[in-house]
Amino acid sequence: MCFVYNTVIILAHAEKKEYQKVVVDQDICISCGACVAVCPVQALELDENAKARLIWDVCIDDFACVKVCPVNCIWPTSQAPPEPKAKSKWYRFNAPLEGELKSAYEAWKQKYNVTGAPA
Amino acid sequence: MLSLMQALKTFRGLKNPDWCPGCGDYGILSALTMALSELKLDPSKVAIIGGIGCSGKTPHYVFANGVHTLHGRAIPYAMGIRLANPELTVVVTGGDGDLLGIGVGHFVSLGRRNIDLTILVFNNQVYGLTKGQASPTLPRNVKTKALPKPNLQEAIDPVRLALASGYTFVARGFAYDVPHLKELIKKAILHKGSAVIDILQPCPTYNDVYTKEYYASRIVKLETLGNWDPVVKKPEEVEEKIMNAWEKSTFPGDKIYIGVFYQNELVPTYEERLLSRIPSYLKFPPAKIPVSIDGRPVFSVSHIVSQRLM
Repeated sequence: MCFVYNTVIILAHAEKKEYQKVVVDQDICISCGACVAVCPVQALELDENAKARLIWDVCIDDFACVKVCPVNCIWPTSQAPPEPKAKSKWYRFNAPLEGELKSAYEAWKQKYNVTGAPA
Repeated sequence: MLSLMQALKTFRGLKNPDWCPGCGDYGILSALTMALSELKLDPSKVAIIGGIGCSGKTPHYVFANGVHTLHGRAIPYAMGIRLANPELTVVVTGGDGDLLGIGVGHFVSLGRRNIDLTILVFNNQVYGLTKGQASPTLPRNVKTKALPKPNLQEAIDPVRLALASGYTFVARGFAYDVPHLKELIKKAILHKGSAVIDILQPCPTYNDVYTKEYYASRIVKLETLGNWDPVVKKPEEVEEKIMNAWEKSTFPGDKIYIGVFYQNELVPTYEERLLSRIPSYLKFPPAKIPVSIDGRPVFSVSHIVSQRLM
């Protein structure tokens, strides 16, 4: 499992594709864990308040979480409303960002107007 | 994992729930804990009583007093707790199989007594904990995932049964509409008398008929209808308001209405009825009468027996 997971991440990074990721509104989230169960790369987790949180650098635009969320609090970033993007702590990084990944993060923030800080 | 201070403030328990991912129970738990904390109640003055089933696990996940009772007997426990200590806010969390299957007699009896309790019916039309058999609220000729053949029995409508039994607050909510459900639970807790909320909740594991998508296209809020007023202000209006509520409570249908169906505060509660017979009831309820002083029981059986014999 771990091997598959790492391979997916390595392949994803090797493709150098631009991902739009997803936005999570933790104030609407009911902590049910459906998104965590369905994500193929484990890019979502339940945080210390048991709310869904995105692991930014792992997400590969599968969007299974968007369909499965019972209260519709997850959106593809391009379709997300502005309020949740301004909130903080709804995403974090798997490892400290370096090089290309860091510039990709800055570009993503700029492009989709995400102002909230990571956890 | 929450700290103790956070738990005191938010009513969220120290254990993480173990329901299936995507279960409607999570929405109900969120709404219940938010309602309790917004009402600024003291966790030591709240009691959550659960029956058996997935819904019965709720008391473990709320930071308050709680009992996980026998199957179907959540209402009798709650009645006893509330009558012994009228200071408590008592909430019953039971499923459709629990409250309307084995416990349906108690459900009807509570309506006659009008004790100040809040009943939350977790209504998902199946027995989710025991692999998805048909529950009393599954309509006839409907076949869910785990049934080999369509259901042979007619369904009970919790809203209509509650109206017929004499509940003084009857509402219907939807588990995934948390802000709306939270307001309903707040109203039910503040209501003086027996309150019941029928909460429609998809079971993502065993109910493939009444799903999130099914409800999403059919749910209509009663507040959005013009001139909808469920509150009884004069005794003459009771019949008319019950008939209006009956009309709107159809399930299943093209439109499923959620909101408050009926509210009547003119009926005296059981506590008030007791007060007319025992004037000191609220001042000295059974929970406040000491049973022992300095390790010795207050009542001496030998004393009573000797008095009788004399």
